[in-house]
Amino acid sequence: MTDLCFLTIAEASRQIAARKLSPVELTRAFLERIERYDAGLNAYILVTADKAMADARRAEAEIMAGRSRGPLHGIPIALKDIYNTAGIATTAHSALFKDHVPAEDAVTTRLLAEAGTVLLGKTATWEFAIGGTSFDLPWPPARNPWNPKHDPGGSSSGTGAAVAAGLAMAGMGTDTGGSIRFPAAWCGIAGLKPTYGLVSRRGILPLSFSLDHGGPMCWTSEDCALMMQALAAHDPLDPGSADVPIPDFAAALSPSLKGLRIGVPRHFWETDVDCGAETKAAIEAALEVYRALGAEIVEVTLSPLGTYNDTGTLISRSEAYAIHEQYLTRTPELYGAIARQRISMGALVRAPDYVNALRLRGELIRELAAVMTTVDVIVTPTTPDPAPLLGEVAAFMSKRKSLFSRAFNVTGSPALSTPSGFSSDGLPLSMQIVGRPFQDDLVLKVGHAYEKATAWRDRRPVIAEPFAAAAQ
Amino acid sequence: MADLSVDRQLAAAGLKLPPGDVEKLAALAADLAAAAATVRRDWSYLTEPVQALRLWKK
Amino acid sequence: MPDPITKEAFAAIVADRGLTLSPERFEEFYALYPLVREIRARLRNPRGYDAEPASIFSPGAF
Repeated sequence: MTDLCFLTIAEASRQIAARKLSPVELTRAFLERIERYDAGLNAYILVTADKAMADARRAEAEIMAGRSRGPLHGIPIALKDIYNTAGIATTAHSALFKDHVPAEDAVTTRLLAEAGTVLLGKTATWEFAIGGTSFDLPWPPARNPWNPKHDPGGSSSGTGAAVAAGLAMAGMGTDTGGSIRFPAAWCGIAGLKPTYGLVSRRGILPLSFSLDHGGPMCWTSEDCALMMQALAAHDPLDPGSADVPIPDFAAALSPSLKGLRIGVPRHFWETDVDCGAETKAAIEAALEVYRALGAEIVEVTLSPLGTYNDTGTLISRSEAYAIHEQYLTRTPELYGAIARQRISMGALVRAPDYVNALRLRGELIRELAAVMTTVDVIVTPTTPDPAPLLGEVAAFMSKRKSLFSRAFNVTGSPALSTPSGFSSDGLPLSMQIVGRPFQDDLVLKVGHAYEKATAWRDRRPVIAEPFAAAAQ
Repeated sequence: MADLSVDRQLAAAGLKLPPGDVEKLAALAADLAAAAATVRRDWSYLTEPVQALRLWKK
Repeated sequence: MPDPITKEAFAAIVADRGLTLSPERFEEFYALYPLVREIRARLRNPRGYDAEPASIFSPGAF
């Protein structure tokens, strides 16, 4: 059963299409594995077992009748619990939304259902995608499958943990400052923050309107490409949605990168941030792999990472506070302390500073665009270090230990995190690949080529059973 | 520039938070002040914010 | 309607915003400040979390 749960979407979909693998059998394997292991990982807030089996039976009947919906048909997935699901609680991992049952699916929820996916359940998140890692919420925080004493990253922590642990074949996260790429990095999976506007935000609980992105979290970049084919679509009712041609994401994947120019803003991790030695060594090794694949490595210089981070912080806190003000002023006790404190920071941002952050954002976008006329993608680490112990993430992160992700929420660029090796403690290391707006297919191609050229994707976490008590 | 204390700013915003939060926010306020310093420049009046009102659809 | 603000509290806000006002201008601003607070209070009507602002970020435009 476990073997089935460690298939990629690409592998499983081929077997399903060839009628060698039944979506019902596959879904049952995942539900059994969730039952067996999730008590120690807390990846799920809600397992929708009955719906999953019904989805799987429908998928199987359609496939047997020759009505295949494509590579996601019969694939079991999980949704971060800020994606609205009609008739199914969408809690944001918060007491405030504990009884929130949306009437309609998010657009992305609907698109994935139309592609024939099987919904296994709703996954843990930092409260409202900002407050974590927290222990004062109605549900416990997710744990890292590579070592449950360690943090899975956030805010899409449950999706990251579920995909890494083989408790979902793929899942959805959201990313306002790194919340897809960060848990993807610490959980050792691939996670894509698409270009702003490529994937509808409608029906996803917002954190910061102009920085929020929904996107896939999968074992491989190839699987992210398969998910993106279903997810990328113009939504006329999402005011930020872009009406652009949708590429064939899977067709763009190829192992050769001959002629590709990779920009390396080394100052990000050499001077702007205190980056760990293992992360630095992994990035240098990855660049060697890219050279061997035919790419040219080019040093580039951007504004200091702190300038991007400051801009993102002022915007995200202001927009988050505008959304939450009505709840925070009336029922602050329904928030966990970390979300309440982080969102309340927005009350301290002055209006001209917010507007000037939006002006600086324009400068930073133009700066990056100018650099990207000379290179095709930019590569950085995703996080400065591998995962610390669970609950230590807030203390661990600081201005000098910042993620490398937020900069590309500020610019709206497509950005992928994919594993780049393991630390001496056996925890995943990661790198980030950033592209030009709407060149998400190229970003996935660059990630895919690296994954095919290295053996990191062959290693899965070994989850002891039972470990929940020992992990406390 | 004189500083309006964090607790007064929070009160002015209508927030009634536990004392622990106010203490934490007072610490976080330094980060915000540093971020605000980053965006306070002698901007040209021609520099637009990145978000624009868009009344048309393609 | 928000509670009236004291002159002392208003003076603290003025100082916090980095403004240096003559006594006459201070009195003018103090007299007008309730209008600002009323407008702000009116803007704080409950609205759905999906109510987007009118200005839109569009990365392709830059």
